[in-house]
Amino acid sequence: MAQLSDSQRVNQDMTALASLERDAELMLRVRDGDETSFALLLNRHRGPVVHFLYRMVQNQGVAEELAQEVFLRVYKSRGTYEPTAKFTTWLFRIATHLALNWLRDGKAEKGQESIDDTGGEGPARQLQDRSGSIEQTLVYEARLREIRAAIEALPGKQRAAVLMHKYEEMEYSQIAGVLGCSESAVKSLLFRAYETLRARLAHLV
Amino acid sequence: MNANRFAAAVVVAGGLFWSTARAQEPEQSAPSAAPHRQPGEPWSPLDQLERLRQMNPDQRERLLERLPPERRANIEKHLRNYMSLTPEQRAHLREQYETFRELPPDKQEAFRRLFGRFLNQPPERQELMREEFQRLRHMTPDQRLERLNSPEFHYRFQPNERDIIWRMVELLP
Amino acid sequence: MRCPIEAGNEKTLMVALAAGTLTPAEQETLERHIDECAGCRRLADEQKAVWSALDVWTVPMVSEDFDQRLHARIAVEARRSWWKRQWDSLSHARFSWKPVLPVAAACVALFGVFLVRNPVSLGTSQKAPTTVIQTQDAQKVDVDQVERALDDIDMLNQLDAPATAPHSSPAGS
Repeated sequence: MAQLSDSQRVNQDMTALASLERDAELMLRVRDGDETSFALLLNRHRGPVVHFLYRMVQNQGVAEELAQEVFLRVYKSRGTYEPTAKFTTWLFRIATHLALNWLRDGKAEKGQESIDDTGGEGPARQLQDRSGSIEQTLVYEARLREIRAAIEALPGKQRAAVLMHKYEEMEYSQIAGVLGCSESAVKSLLFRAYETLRARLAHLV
Repeated sequence: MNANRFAAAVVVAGGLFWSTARAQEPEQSAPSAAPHRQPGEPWSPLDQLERLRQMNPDQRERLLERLPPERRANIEKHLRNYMSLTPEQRAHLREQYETFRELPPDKQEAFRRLFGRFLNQPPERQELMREEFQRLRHMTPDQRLERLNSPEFHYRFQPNERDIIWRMVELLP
Repeated sequence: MRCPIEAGNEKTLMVALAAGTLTPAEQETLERHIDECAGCRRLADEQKAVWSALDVWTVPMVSEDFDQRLHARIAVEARRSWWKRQWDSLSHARFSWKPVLPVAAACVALFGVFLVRNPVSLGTSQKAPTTVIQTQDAQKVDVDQVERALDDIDMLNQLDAPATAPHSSPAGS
């Protein structure tokens, strides 16, 4: 992964901070009845929420249903919104709760895609190598199966922590806010999860 | 007649509006009353436990008074123990509980049964088993396997005790 | 730099190295150490391998009608709002008007408001205990859930309590 220079890192932090303030500002406008602001928030966060839920429940249809429930709850709670935490922390907190409840209810056995499926409904946004040979495709699909199985084997909270850390690039403090636990607990969750993943996936590369 | 209809409609509408407004209040007060929950999230058992802990004695009394005496005594005893902990100890236990809750229901039941077997051991054996259980939980899978096969582990614990310790460690992530 | 494995912070550093969240200076220092330390090199390689492997997992695109379906659900919720339902029932009442009807409706509304403010125990000892009870703040506390949570927390607390036995003893002695 390319390493950022200090000035690039500062710029990235400032952009992120501006984005976060914008989220809270938009949500306050939604509270005041501005529907356009809700559309802007939806446009910004729809993808990350659906993708997070997809990797949690490993079923695109269920992921979109749960994501709809997330945004519906955000919308219904708009009247009482207070920017006491980052908007994304609140958003992912609802998403994580819904996903963990869904997993706990055992619906995973009824509706979860087979690990043999490669991506669920809809076109994949990107494959590593679309133009590759059949052999490369088979290798890719085999690796994907192993990755999905390894993630699926993680307990719910470890799974959520890894997905937020890896794919949403959240810091420990924000993951702690989402999961409602301390930073040290998040580190413990993550390090156990990565230890398990190292045992299962390190041979893939 | 029209004036009567209008007056009655105003009274009904006013009453309904007020009761609706009162029903909305919990969403506004939820964040301060139950700090682990944000608007839109379901009430977890921990949220409800915190709610119970924060109630005044009269409210708690009203909540529990209809229960059979044994259940009520059990809840009150455990609640007293829980409330006697420091905030840090409670936070630590809540984290442990959340981990436990991630287990599928059948594994939770299996763990509870194992704990029942644990409680049947003499107190001095329970202490040794507890110490071993904690030690194993902090090991890597390879270290755990090595410990399980070690002469010391076999020397310290009887087969029944080894079975309880090992199964509990396997169940709890 | 001191070896991270000896310092006990190898997991933090290797995860950060693979994630690219170290500063350039930190990364350079760590990589210089990794060149000389087989244990740290193995751990770093494994963590980087995991990180790269996870990059393979791409996701399907969100359905094109996602927003449309969401707005439809929001519209359904809005249509089912409490106010609309009551307004609908009032509209219906105009066509079967009796003088006593508005008075009765007002009494029901006022009684409902009274119940919300002052929940009373209506059951007797013969009635099975209601386990979901409305508190003064209209929050529902499921006593069954809370009782189970307290039992589990007590179990975890007992397993977490520090051992007091100072030495190991042979099994069963």
